Amino acid sequence: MTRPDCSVLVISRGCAERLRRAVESVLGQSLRNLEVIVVDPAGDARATVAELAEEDPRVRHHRPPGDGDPRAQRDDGLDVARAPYVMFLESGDELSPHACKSLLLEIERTGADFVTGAVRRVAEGERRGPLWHPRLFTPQRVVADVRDEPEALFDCLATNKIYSRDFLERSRMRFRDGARHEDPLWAIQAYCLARRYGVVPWVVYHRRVSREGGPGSGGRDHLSGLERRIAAARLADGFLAASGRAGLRAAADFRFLRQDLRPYLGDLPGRPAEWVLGLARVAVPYLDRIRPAAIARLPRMERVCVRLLRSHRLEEAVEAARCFDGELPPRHVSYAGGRPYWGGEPGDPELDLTELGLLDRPFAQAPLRHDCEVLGLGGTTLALRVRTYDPARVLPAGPVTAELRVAARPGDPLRHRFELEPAGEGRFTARVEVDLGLVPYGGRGPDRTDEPRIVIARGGRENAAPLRPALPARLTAEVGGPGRRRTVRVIAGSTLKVGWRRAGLARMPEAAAGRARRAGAAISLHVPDRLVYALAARLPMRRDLAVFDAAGRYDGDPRAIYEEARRHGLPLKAVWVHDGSARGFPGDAEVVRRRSRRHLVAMARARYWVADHGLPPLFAKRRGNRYLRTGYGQDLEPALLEPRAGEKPAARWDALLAPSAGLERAFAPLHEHTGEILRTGSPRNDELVRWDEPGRQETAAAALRALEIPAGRRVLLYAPAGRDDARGRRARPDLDLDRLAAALGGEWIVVLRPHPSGRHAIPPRLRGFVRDGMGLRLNDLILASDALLTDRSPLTRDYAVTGRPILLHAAGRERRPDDGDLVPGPVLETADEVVAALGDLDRVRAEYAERYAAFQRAWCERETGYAAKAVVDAFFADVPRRG
Amino acid sequence: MPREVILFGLENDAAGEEPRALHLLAQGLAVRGHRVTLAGVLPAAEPVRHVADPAYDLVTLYDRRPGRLLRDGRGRLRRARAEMARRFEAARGGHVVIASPGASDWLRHVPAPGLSRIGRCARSYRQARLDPAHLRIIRRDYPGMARSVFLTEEDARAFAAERLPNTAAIPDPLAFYPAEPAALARPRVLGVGPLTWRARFDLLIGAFAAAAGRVDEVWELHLIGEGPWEERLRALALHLGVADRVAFRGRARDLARECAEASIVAVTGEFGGPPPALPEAAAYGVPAVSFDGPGGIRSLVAHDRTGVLVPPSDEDAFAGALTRLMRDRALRLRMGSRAREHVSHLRLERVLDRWEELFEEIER
Repeated sequence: MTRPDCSVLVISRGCAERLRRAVESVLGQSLRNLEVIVVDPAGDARATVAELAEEDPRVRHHRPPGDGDPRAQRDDGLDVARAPYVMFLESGDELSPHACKSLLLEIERTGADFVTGAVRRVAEGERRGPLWHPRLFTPQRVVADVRDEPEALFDCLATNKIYSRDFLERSRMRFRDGARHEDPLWAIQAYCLARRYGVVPWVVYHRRVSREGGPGSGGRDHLSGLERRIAAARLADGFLAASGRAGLRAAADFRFLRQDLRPYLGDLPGRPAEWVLGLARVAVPYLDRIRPAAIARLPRMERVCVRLLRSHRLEEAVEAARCFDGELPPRHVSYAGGRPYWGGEPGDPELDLTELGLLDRPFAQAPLRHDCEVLGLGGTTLALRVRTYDPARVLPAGPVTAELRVAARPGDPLRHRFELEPAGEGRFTARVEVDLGLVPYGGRGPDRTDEPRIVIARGGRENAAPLRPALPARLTAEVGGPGRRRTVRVIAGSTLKVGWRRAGLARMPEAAAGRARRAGAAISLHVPDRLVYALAARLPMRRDLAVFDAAGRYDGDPRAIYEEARRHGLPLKAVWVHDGSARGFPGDAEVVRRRSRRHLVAMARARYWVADHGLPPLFAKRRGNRYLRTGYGQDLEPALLEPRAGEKPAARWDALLAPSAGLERAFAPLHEHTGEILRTGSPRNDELVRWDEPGRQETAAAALRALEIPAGRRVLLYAPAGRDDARGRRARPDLDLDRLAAALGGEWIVVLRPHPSGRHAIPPRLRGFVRDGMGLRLNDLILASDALLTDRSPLTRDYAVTGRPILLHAAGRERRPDDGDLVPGPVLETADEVVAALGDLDRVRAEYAERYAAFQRAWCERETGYAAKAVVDAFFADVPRRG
Repeated sequence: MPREVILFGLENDAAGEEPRALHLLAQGLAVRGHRVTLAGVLPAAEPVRHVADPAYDLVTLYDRRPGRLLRDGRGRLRRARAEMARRFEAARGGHVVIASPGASDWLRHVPAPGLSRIGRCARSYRQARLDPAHLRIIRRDYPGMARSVFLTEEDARAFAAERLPNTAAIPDPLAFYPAEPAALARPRVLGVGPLTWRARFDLLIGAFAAAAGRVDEVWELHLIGEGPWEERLRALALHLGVADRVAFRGRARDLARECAEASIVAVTGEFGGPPPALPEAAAYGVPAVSFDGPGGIRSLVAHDRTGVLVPPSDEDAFAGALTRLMRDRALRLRMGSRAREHVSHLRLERVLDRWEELFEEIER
């Protein structure tokens, strides 16, 4: 019998079904020449293994002698394995189908001592799940010394790896050494003792977690798991010291804090006092030995929590744990030297809360916290004791007028005014009684749950925040007369919620109506768009009808053209297309949803189409139709310019906007455009060219006010186009905004304006430094800014019209090789480089002056500021002008 | 050890590098004693015979291309799939090489028990990423195959970084590897590719015009290929005063002869995989001038050793490189002979060796 290429050791833990699943995942591997050894200390897997072995002789059973220490089982398995390479598998988990073959080929190719691969966490009952620490496993590489990448210690499993038997024997790595210990100790030893190890990015191991194995897991009820982990960590520390690798201690400590301790810290708010005491007793002695450098790497609130635990301020530690996600501000904050500190006595650097960015946020996002106590529901009157905490001291010292807003239907809340009385520094209190029967609700309308907000106004801006109850509660009342009865439920959970449900007779018609609606939707005829369009195209064409489409927004070139047409008083009836929200569109135009009947009919009957992207072939042109293509930005990515397969090469455009010679050269021939070429600038940039007109400066100033930019700060417009990740979604920009904030916080404000298809939530701690620019007009943001930071966004070419500095951010992985020298500013990779550039903008300007000018010549030469007029004159030439 | 091998593509008798590669592989494996079937779905609109005397079974599932309305579509599809299922059953224990993600999509509901499936993708990683439908199929089907084979190490690595667990790289074989290299004496620059934007022959003609003006010898540029840009390019050549030096030769009929008669091969376009005819020209010892860039060009042309790479879109630099090679035959001969060596790993025998190694590896 030939020697197997790989031995897989599976430890049986009692559950026959899981064991079978694990073994089958090995027997089903693409590598056939392997053996499976089921190590079975209790002896109860013998029958299962026998069944499996009948169908497949590659699996066999092994009962080790003696103790039943689960780690010792792996050692015994090693003794009987026959292959030169081994892997371990826990019987609750599975290997992915190519794991053995792919790891085997890699370890043979590289000659490494072990190779580790990526892991997926899969919940029981699911088939897929998220990757576990994905960044550790990419790129594919061979590493000689783990000290070059100490973060590797986060890969603390023994099971996602293939090992050479030679290596294990040579380094005498055994699981059994010492007391019962855990995988992280094994992994640290493997990483340190290997002469070299390989890392591959693909998934080899599926680690099963029970559904409850997430937060609040029953596994953490008793603290014995943590005790074991701490014991293992102590042994690992000893090993590192003895083997001369004390330099890795900080990395090992950090791993312990993030992987082993953190889940227990997160549990603190929900656990009883004895548990908290127990945690302190178990953890603090070891925490006292952890390197401060490791603790310093934790997010601020976790650091605070650790400090409070170590100082035996346990109640405060639990409070700190509530603030881990950054959304809930701390209650008690005191100040020294302008810096905020946790608690009543400022000064301890571990409790310094500056990092949370509590100060300097716009008022609407100021960190106000409203804790509440539900006193009772008398009839329909809800009584609450509200305690408001103002850690950033944004509220004035005296009583503060506030409003409690509760809504049973959207847009129509009950506003209950009350006064918050000062109760100490940064603290206010009030007793609020609100009659829920007064909240307006409609006769019809679905059931609804609302989160009441406390709203405080200042200078025209409002801060609205939910209420946070101290204790859970559920109270019910009934409101309304016959036929309009509602059951009102007050639910005190993590926030206070009020639910409205139809009660009694009122319930029935609603339910019936719902069923009827659903049934109707199921049987309604679906008429294909093509048919609607074809039918509508038989109607006479309307010579005064123009459809404007700017990818669903009211912005860009189509908007500028539309507004110019209105200024000229052209008797055009306009239809705008939206993609979901009709807000923000002009009142004098009809607004239709994309692909709705009204949209299709309008497209079929309109004489003019103005669009900044290619309209789908569904919209066949009629005789007499004129189609102006404005272009979405001057981006020369070849693939974006090529017509998609199936798109008829456009003899479709009657007029193409070519705002620069470069675009004209590339774009027009590509799509075989034979119509008119309008050699004007981009209408949307007219405002930028004529930026010094008084009207423009006023709107720019208004934008600054709207964003609450403090006086004296300069504004950096950050417009990441984002890389398209492989799913075609825009990935998050990977600029380290925290570093930027730390270095530039006092001088600059960043206004974030991502590509419309990207979503970017600004974490609370950065809201003092980064403003969300999505609600404002792009041109206003451009005019309000002092510099632009972007990664190859088409915006670059528009911004160059203003002449202000442009910084380019190469997002690390892909440096596109084209464009050569024609960049208008420095190409920066890291946040530190951005900081350096912003710190010395004059020098950057001077250095790039020539290239900037060349860039402008290439891309902005046609921008005269009157492009909209030129386009309207040319394209709408045959619309009769009035007077 | 002889094996059952089925090669499956969508349209195997069309003209082009991809179908030709499949035929070459099929023939090579059959000659080595394996039982080879080359199966395709559609007959091409203008079929081409890639191998004169096939030693393998050639099968086309549809006997004619479907009409526009495809009325009998479903029935034919079902029958075609059933036919493939039968063939797969008969080839148990063997391997099926699926030539492209499109082919994999077609085979989705065809069971292939006992057969190891090997997915091939002839597009570069960069190109594949730009086509979401393509990428979706690769992500869906290829991880479950025994191997996913790409044309270059670079692409295999890139897909492995996308967590594809079974990647390998085997390049397509050269159509020929001549016994004798070209003489490189004839003053001719060769450009091969479709006459569309992609091949950027406008830049080539511009660079050639500049270079031709700087040398005494009368050089010619021969463009091999067809496409809608012919008018435009002719007009450009006229405008630049080189209409008498630029020859539009139409579709490639005898690529080997074209390579043998050229002295320089010029590549200005960015193609998904290796530029057309570049490996074959290198096999003839013809040095190349090309724009640098992704898409595997660097693995085919080693800068300053087997050819010259210039910064992308830089017409002036391209002209300079052409001039340099036009003036110096000795340089052309030196670079050319290194080019020949450089692509020797693409010879059919070597590529077949790698396929056989792959089969062995799969059977472990």
